[in-house]
Amino acid sequence: MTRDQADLIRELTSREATGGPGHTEDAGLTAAEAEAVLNRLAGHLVPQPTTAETAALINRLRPLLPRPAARRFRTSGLSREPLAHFLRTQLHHFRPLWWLASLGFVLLGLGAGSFLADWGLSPAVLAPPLIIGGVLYSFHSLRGAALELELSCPVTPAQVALGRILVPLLYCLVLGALPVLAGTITSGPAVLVAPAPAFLPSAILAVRLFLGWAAALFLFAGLMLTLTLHFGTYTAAGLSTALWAGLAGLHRLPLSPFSLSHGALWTPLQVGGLTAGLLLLCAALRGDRLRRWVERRGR
Amino acid sequence: MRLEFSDVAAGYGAGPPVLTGMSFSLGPGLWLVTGPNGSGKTTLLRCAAGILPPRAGQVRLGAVDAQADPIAYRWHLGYAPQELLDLPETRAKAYLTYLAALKGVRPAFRGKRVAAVMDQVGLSDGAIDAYSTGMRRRLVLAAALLNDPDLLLLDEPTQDLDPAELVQLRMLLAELSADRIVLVATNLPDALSGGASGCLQITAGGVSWRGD
Repeated sequence: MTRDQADLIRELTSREATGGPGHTEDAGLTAAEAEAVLNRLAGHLVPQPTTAETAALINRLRPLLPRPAARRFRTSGLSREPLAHFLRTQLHHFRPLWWLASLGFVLLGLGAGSFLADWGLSPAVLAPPLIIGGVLYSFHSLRGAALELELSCPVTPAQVALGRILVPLLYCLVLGALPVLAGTITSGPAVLVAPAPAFLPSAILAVRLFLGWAAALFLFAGLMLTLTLHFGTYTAAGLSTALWAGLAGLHRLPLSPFSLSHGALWTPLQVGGLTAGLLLLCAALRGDRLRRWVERRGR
Repeated sequence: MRLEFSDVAAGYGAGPPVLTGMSFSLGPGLWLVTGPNGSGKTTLLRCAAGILPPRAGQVRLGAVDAQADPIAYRWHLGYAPQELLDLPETRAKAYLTYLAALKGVRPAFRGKRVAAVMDQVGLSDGAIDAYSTGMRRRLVLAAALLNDPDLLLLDEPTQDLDPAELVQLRMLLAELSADRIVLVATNLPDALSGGASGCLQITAGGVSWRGD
């Protein structure tokens, strides 16, 4: 018998002795009867769990309980120099198909070199569609949730935009060297030798051809980035393509960037185009311009 | 560490402000932001994520000012936007690995960390455009968890989830909010209110009611 039961029996039997106005039904029990009743009740009650049983139950339930997150990762798994690998991480956006398609486009242009030369077109005419396609490919996925997720990373909007445009720009620049190198080494394709005055060494010719390529590339890269931030990638690609087609159509004019006839003003014009492209890129990457882009795209 | 908004006003472009003089201070725990559509819940989270700079006022996380030092501020946060990812020809694991690099996860840890967060949200690798909407919802949550953030911002995380996924989300949020600030914008506060530390009711760009 527990101590509580003994107290209860004492209480029930003491009521028998007092009786009077407070007399109740249970007051008629003897001590033995009360004990028997309590023993029977105890048999029907749910047994109180012991400390060991409680601990075992908690252990069984513990996997189901919310646990504080293990925060060790923050201290050991993060590096404070995410920009060190920033450019390399941008390669993620470019599938092998894009690399191959761009290379194929330049090789096709190289093959059609004599055809272009017959029309009086410089190889630089291939640069704009190449960079337009590259920027379009690079930026078309940078919208909605993807844009918001990238901007919530510890990088600036300028780094996000620059990272996206740098890969196609550098790749197209390298691709531009291919026809130039091929031409100067082999002196082969007519496109490279056609505009060359007889006294011009092939090295200078190569530099001029590469300058023309780079100027067209930077000009249209700057234009594409600026228009992309204002109107979105597809509108930017449409407008840039229209401008490229217009300029290519006007290639018979001596000052056209895609003309083969290298007049006296040709070199300053190419340098001007290159500078304008760089200025457009810098202006597009300014903080307030990017802020408006983020607000517009995120709305 | 506490998230503090002091008289924050914010909006888009030249339009009228969406948030007007919003002020509050939150400590670790699960905090729900509720309010009618258009009241400013998403704008509040974008401000807290450092994506939308405030026109006026201050957003601080501990000692770090979101505007004065945005990179240091973003270092501490994870943000899951309301919109779902639409990335054709991209696999979830590859995308999360890219984001892990942007978030500063060391190269040696990247693979393990991506696997850990995918496991945490119950996601297996696959093409993102083949994922269901519920799986895409869990994918943005996984992206937000990559850097083990001190401040976790979730915009409508219960959208598109089935009942079983909802239960998993509740348990995950209970686990995560034990020692960090988890701020959740939701139109369905009942779904998450069980483990919440408090609730901010947003009306017309300001906190109209706060219950702790």
